[in-house]
Amino acid sequence: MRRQQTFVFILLFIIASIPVFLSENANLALTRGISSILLFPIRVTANLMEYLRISNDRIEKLEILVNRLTLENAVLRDTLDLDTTQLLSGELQLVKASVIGRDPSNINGYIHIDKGLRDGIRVDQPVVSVDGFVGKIRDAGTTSSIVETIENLGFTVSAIDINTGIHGVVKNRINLVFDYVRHTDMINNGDSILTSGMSEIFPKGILIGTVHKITDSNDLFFKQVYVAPATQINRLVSIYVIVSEEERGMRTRP
Amino acid sequence: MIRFLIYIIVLYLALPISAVVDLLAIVLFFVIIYEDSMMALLFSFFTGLLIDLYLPIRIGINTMISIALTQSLLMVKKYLVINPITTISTFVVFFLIKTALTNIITSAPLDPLHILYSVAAFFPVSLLLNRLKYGLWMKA
Repeated sequence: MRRQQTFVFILLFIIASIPVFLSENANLALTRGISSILLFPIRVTANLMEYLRISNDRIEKLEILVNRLTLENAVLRDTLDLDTTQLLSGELQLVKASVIGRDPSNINGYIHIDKGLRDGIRVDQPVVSVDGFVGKIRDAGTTSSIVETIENLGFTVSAIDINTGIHGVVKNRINLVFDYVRHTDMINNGDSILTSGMSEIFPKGILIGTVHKITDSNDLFFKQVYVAPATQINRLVSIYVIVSEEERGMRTRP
Repeated sequence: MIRFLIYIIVLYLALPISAVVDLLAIVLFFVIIYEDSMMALLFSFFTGLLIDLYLPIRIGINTMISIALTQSLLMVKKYLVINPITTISTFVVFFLIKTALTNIITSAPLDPLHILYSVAAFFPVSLLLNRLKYGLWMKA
């Protein structure tokens, strides 16, 4: 047994010492050949770990995307439910009116329509077109009314970015601006801006426009977000005034 | 044969962390002390070869050191009384000689933390291996 052990020791030692005396290239080739067999389990495990790490990263990114889409979907569903319910249940109704004139001194700021008090039109009722938000009734006469549009300087409406859920106010300051968006808020070009419903005048979910430019302003807290209006006021021929059932009732009463 | 395969699996599991804690030396020492000499020699050859391939310096160096140390320990093993103190002190000597030889041959600087971690890990790993093999925490 002892002789056998010595023999095995000498044999293994000689085998182990052979590569030490080989040339650099031969040593490298030998290492590569043996490691491809003996380190196979290690390599497979390492590849598996790398694959799992990449998969994990992808899953994290997808989770973020799913959360974002879920939120967006919930807001959109909420908006749709609210509007359709209100319209279907008759709480809100649309009164169609034609544009019959414009204010010469502010051609897109004010428009005249052919519906008035007689048709249930009242001051501060919201006005929309097939493309989206238009403005509100500024003055109501018996048979005609004046609409203040979103293109009138100083017009403001509370709004929400439907993709990110950021609340703000859309103001007309020569350009249409979505105000009160913080520098840290993520907002993207192309995001849809809708009325937020945080107003006594405008219901929730009317498309105001889309974000078309974002700049870092000198303001300490907020960035400058420019909005392209959904409705082209200068091309309007007919509009819809959103009238509540109560106001329609007043119209029909003698 | 089954035992040898199990030791090989343990070896592969210990290989990735051997740069921090030398678990390979601990497993090798355990095999030398508790297994027969033929298995210990073959296992030391395989361990040295794996270290040579995984942490390449020059293939053969670690294998030779490993076999030589194993043979030396096998020769003195019969004079050792197996108890915790003797086992730990023998491992410390075995490990320090192995580290010193490797560092001298490869001209690498000594890493005191590596030595410290490996010596500290010896007792718990040894207990675990005893428990797995014999069902006892410590074989006296």
